[in-house]
Amino acid sequence: MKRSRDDVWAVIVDVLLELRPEEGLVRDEIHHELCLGEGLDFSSVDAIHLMITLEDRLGGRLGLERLVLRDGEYVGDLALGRLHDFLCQQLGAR
Amino acid sequence: MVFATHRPYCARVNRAGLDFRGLSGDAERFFAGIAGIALRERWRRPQALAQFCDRFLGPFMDRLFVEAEAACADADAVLYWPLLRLGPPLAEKLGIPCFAVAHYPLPYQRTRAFPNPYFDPLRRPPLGPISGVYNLLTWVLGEGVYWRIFRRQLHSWRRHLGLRPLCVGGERRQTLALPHLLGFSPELLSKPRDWPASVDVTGPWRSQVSDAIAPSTELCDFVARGPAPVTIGFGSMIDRKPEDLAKLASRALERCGRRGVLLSGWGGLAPRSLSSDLFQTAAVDHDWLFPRSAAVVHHGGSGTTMAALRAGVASVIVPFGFDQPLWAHRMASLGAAPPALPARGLTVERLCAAIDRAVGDASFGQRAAELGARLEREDGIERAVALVEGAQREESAHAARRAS
Repeated sequence: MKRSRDDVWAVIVDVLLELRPEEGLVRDEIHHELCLGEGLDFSSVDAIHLMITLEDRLGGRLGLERLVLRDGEYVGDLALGRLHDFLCQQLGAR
Repeated sequence: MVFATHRPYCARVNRAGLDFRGLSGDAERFFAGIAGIALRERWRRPQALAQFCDRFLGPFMDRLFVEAEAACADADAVLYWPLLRLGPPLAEKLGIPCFAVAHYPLPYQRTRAFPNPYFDPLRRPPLGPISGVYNLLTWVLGEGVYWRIFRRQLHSWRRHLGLRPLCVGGERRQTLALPHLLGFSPELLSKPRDWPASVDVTGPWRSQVSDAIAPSTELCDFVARGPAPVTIGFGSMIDRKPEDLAKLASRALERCGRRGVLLSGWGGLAPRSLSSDLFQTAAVDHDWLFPRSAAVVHHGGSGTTMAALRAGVASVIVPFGFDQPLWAHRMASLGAAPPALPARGLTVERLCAAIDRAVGDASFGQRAAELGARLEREDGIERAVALVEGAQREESAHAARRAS
């Protein structure tokens, strides 16, 4: 069964809340314009955790490294909206 | 002496009086999260492991290599951790000696003496005359993974350094020709006869500068107010459900009626609630806690295994992966621990039975104490330093002969 865009967004939010328990991040503060670097203060290790956990939850190889990594660094200005669009495209979510 | 490693270790390196050069990444956070679990889960699946490294770690390697190159620019010799394989090309470029250093046998060090802990399909190796052949086969089959990991990054890095490309066979020959310093005790695992002369099991390397965490007053009080507790901690090994593992550990202690100290470590081994017979702490100096313990349940990392021996305390080893099955097997063979309990398939009943056996049978602790006393007499650092200095003198003499 194909997932809806809302389902995919819900997974992204759940994963971020799980990866950032000590930051006091709350569900309502997570929005499409938030960036991994400035908004969420991600390190490269966080970016690896994010990619692996999203693939675990959404199933299969989603090629996230093509979006998240560039020149030996993760893309800090990657907004969650873009991540959401990319995942929806990969999963064929509508 | 310059120590190049991840930036979170800067203070520790400086405390040891060494010059620090920062490398990107954070091994502790990596292994304490889902990435560490994912890596371990793929360790026995060569294709999946190579893909994992390529996809998630490869992109960071180019930067790491360049940072390592800058850190070593004025070096007289390079000592490197072989799983990253950055030492040989760097030393080749700089024309300086190179040493591989590790606390465990490496995935490419074939031997007939014991099976490859990283890749042992049967997990219960056959006994008798075919055991040597079986053991050797596990190394031959398993080592292909090692040479495949970061292959692409190594190619591009050799190109960056202006070195000619090397095929797998060439890289293997280059690596095997290097001096290897292995920092574990020969009492625990002696050097197999079929390893080359370039490999030296130096004995354990114990830092002269302790950065161990002193016990809290609460922990001292807990330990003092009853029979010696059983210590349980799995270091950096984390489970997909750490709370379930913590619950299992506390229920096992409860079932065998013993007090316990849970070391939550990186693995987050922290139960939601604690009985009065259980104390939980993130980390504490092993040299303080282990001698005060009735037994130590651990993952079988080489450092923790040797700490348990030095403390003269019985171990119960729950290997999660990597080199740990080897140490678990050695400890059982040496009589310092009951047979290993692999993490997969661990139950309250099995853990309880193993703890009961380790505590109830005094021979495990006695054997650990005998071995620990011998370990205390080993000075791995002195031996490693002598080997490095000897090789450097040889290299200088060689260079002088070439110049004349």
